[in-house]
Amino acid sequence: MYGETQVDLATEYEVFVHNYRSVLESMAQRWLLEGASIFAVLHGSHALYSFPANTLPQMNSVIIPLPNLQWLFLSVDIQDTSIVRSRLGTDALLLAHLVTLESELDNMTQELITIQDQQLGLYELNRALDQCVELHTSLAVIARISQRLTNAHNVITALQIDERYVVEQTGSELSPHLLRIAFRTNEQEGRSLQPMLLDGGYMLCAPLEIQTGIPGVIVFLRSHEFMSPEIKLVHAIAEQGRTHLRNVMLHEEQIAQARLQTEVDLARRVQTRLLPRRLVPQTGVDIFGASRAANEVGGDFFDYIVKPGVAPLQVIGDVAGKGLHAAMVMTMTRTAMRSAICTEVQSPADLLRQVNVDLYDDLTELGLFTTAFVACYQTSDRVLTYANAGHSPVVYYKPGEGAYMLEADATPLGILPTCFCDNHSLTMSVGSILVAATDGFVEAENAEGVQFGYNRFISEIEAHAYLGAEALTEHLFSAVNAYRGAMPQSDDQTIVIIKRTDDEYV
Amino acid sequence: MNTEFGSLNGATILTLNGRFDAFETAPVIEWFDKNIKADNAHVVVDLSGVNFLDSAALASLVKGMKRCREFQGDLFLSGLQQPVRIIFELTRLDKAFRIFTDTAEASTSF
Repeated sequence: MYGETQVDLATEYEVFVHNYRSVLESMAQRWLLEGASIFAVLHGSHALYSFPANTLPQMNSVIIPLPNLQWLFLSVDIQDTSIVRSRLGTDALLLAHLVTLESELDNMTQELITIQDQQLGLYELNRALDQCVELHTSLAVIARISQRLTNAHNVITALQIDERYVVEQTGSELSPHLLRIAFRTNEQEGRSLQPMLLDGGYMLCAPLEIQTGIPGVIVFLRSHEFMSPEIKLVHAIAEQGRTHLRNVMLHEEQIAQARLQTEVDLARRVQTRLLPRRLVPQTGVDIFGASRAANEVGGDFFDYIVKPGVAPLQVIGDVAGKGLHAAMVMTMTRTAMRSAICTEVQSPADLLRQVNVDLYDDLTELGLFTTAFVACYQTSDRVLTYANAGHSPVVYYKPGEGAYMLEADATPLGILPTCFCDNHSLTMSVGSILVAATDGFVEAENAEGVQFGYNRFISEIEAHAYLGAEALTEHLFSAVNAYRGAMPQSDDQTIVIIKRTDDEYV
Repeated sequence: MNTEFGSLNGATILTLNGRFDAFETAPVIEWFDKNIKADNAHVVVDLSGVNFLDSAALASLVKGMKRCREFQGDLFLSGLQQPVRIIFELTRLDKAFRIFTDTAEASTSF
């Protein structure tokens, strides 16, 4: 009965008297048979029950209090003896016990009803949240339903993402100050919940932390204190809220990832479509080129440029960096190369100088550069002319002499306003091979983190120089893949091979 | 990668330590964008603590260099370790940048 008011007690006792009327009646009749004139149950001076009805105990009645119950007495109008007192005491004990049991039963029933209400409430919350796929709506739904379940006059849900707060509330009292206190309460007290006195009302906070780095809080404001079952309910609401918000964030992340992956796939498809399909055969040389992309979209490119009145050119290059930026610059470069070829711009060095001029401003703006190697074989004099703007590896093999690196003489395109590259010439004897490849070959790493390297690349070419261009290409891919073993391919691998054959070869 | 800023003989010294790759470029680029001005466009990048440089890192140094030159200054490199020096030679970026062995000497060469 702790905490209940006088009025509550009176009502409770009246209900009790009503429910146990038959018990009281048989008790009263027994006393009357013993010679009593009136039997009554008193609450203070007020008769809750009397037998015969509507009678009042007299001044000399025997009165015994019911043990442990405030202001409740049994009164019998009979001669006062010790036996009477003893019997009345027993009756009082019995009745007090019944009252207590009745009260406990009442409380338990109330609690069961409350718990069932709360479970229905949580179920309702669950159903409502199922419809929400977005953070704001989720927070609003949690706040709204929580308010109804707890009779709070304001419920605030808040998340801290990076520097900003995402907040929903059912009322309008939220101040930055209040929000800071709520978050700090969570930090300090960990996961324990304690009601707090605040400006005359009560504030209860529970954590809504979605994951580390995204703290969250749900705040209940009410004018009367939060009792233990309600604190448990708040805990359950917060738990459910956290799970749901975690799922919403995961969902949003998955969508973003899928969107990005689609963009990447699209970019890769564009890149693949732009790779040269058909090689126009040239007398005296066997040419082959290929590109194998790594997982991420890259900046490698190779191209065959064939225009009327101009000897065919082979081009290979590598844009700095990876990802969509590099891929886009790669397509720009390819276009610039094709556009620059005309009667005035024919030699490899001319081409590179012109493309540098065309692309310099854009590359500066984007903060990128691209290497480029251009080769052009003249069938008539068996001379291969080339120019190299910062590109490697480029390897030249001469039968009987072995293979060596051809070094660049100019910086990559986009570094300086003018590209200071020169044309270089090689007279290709039968069996000579030019191999121009990209980083993906020499920088491939094995499980120990050791790179394939330039020396190994050169050795492989020397050892397999008897192969045709396409077969040598295949071999070099296999050699690097075998070296890498289980390690994933981290960089694009692009290669162009020009092999001098005898004159009749077409 | 660790980044430290200092000054010597009127030039800003940017000391980098560790692996300089695509993931490390953003703060470097940001620093150049924010700090290079007309009266502060002489920069020496001390690479003695850098053991690896990829093309994205090179691109960021090029960007810094262009910005310095835009403000009538320049960007020099110092203390290149052997593997890094090889990368610069292969790409011929040793022609685009002035490269010194000693940072102090670089700082007085503007």
